[in-house]
Amino acid sequence: MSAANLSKAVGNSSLRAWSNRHARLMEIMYSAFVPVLVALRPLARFIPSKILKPVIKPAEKLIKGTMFDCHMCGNCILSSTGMSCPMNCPKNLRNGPCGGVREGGYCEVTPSMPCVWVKAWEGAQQMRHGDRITLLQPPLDQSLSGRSSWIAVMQADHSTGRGEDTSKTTLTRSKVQKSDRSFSPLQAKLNAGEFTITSEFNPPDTPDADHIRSEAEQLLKLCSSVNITDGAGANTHISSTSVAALLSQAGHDPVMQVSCRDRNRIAIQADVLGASALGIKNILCLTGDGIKSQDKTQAKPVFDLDCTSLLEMLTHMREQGEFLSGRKLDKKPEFFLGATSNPCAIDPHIEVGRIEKKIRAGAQFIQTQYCFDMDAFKDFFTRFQDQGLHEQCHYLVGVGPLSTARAAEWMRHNIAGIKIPDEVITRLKSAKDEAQEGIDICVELIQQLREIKGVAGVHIMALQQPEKVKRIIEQAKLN
Amino acid sequence: MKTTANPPVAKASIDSQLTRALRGGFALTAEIVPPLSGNPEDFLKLLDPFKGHVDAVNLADSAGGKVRLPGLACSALMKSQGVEPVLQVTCRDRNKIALISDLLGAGAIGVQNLLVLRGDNLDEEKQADITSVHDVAPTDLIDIVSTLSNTGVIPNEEKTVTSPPQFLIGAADMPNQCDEPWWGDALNKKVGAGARFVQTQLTYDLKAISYYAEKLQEIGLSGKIFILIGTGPLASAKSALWMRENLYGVDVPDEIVTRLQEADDPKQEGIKICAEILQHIAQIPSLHGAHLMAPGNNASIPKAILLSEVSKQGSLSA
Repeated sequence: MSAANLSKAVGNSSLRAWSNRHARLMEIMYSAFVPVLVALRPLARFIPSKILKPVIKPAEKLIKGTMFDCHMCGNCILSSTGMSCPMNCPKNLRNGPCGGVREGGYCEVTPSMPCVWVKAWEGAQQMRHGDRITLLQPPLDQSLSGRSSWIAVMQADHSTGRGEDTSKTTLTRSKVQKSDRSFSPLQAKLNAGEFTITSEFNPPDTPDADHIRSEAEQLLKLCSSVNITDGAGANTHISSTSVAALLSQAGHDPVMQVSCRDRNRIAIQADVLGASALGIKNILCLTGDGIKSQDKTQAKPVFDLDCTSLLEMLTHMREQGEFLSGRKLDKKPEFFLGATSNPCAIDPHIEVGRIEKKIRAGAQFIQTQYCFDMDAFKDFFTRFQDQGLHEQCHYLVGVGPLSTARAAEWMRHNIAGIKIPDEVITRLKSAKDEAQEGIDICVELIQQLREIKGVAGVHIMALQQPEKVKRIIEQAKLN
Repeated sequence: MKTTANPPVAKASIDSQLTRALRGGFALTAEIVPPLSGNPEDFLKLLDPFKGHVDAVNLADSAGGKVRLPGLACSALMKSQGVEPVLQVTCRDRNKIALISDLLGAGAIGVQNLLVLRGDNLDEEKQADITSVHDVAPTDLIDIVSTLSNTGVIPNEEKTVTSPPQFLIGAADMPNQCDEPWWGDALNKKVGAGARFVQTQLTYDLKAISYYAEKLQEIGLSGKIFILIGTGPLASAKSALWMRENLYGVDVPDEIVTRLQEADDPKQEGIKICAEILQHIAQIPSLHGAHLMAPGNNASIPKAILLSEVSKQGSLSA
């Protein structure tokens, strides 16, 4: 980075931080400014866009660029995001933050940058209309990129740009959370209130169908369902749709994971429709791991949707039988929709708000990131229960065996969003058999979780180690 | 049986109906646009007209940027249907990670034929809200697939796939662009990257087909790659004119339009014209078959094939 660019980056981001810290002031200024724009409407009717644009657009670009690092997306929602511009999020989230926020509130993808969305929630708390942050934001309308939101407000015409605060989606919402319908055995089991075990399957890098099936079946015989990961860790792996199809055709009931990182809305809608034709019912919606600069794939991050808008889109397909574009499907697909959560996230308040949004967007079950910290979990879950959210979704907590103290330390430092308390690491260090201690810790966690009202089950993650999953289930007497 | 001077090399490890037919001298493929439905039956009934008549069926990948049942799911449904799929892969909707993971999935499902495309452009007005991905260009993707097939290595990721999937890789071409200065280089690049067959845009002009075959010889590709000429039965003069106006790279000669206009039964005339084109293709040694497309008129495709009797010259035991 050249010196000029560097100073620009530092200068701008500090101004952006200032604007965000003074979100209430910005809100007052903006609410004084909107009437001016509205008052100019009669004028705007007579002045053609040709003349208006060269005056207003550069002014908007300069002011919002300086104050907020505005990208002129034409979909401005600053007033709903605590005056923190979501276009600065490397995952293009319109409903954030993601589950990967680092210690201290830093970005998963760019660790030196404070998370745009943590700042957004903080800014929103100061604002009079701060609750707007809980609005479900639709996917970005890419066609408006580069257009002026101010002119849109002046012309009261959303075809030229989405004016600020038009944060309603075009989708018809229907409340369908934790419904009594059961499309899949997994849903039936959860609806029946049984403590449910799921696990995670990272398919081997091979197109050998028999090999894939036999590996998956080692886990499938132990639990109700396994998740098929979708390009985990921003690496190429076999498509989750094909593996889920192989398993579904063999009579199993897998959870297909769908991430927003690698496909646009056309491909995602096509793939879930295909999944439905192949008999797949359970879909877990994720935003997806970000592609960091040091990742080898060199792939282009897509992020046309985020997990919340993905959930809303799939709910809409199921309930209304329509694509996002409004085109009709001749048969409504039967989906049981899930989302992720990070109960040990750095800020439990934001986490509750974030999951509440996902539930409103259609999440019926939740599977979480690894949880090792019971105190943090309880702090989060009490707030979650206070809102009655445990009654609106099936919450499965992610657990797993730590193999050694060293591995635990590595995870703590390298996997964004994972919290491992010092006691756990000390216990592992002083144990004679670290691997067995890791299993014991996991079993104890499961036993404690089982006692908590509103925890629907556990999601056991043990990369490529089905024998450990088996031991955990036996030791915790879950079978 | 027609003899091909130098049959292009296809990997011995691929033993699909399509490769057998191509090696035999004459192959027929057709194209279907999958339905907008999650019901397998809706898709399977589209296959019926083609069973026993063509060697493989192409599955369009959300053509025109409109969501359809994806090719991968259709391929899985096509098992034990007696027709094999040509999976179409476009670069418009998926990045490198999603594309390669779908290819591994395709391998697991048993897909052997692949057509790599750029993907239709999205409508600048109606579909402008959607992100077009274009992380890789078709030629790059062909290269990635060949590397994956040959070595099991996923480019940039330093990891190896055990028993990597083997594909017969195809590319698309526009015969009416063969006079453009860049045409030869572009096609040669695709072949250099690993393309082993070409399916062309719709062509209805006998002279243009002969000319295209000559041009392929000129750029030294004749004998290096299997060529399937895109054509099909036209339903009426009106639809011929519509195609000429609206489909990129499609020419319909005036005489064909006139023939359709003057015919008592334009549909039957369209079948006759298509049969004549098929016979013409079969007589040119450097061409290896036809790729049949007739949106909304699929039922006429088997009729044209039967009328042309070309299947008797090829490997198909009809």
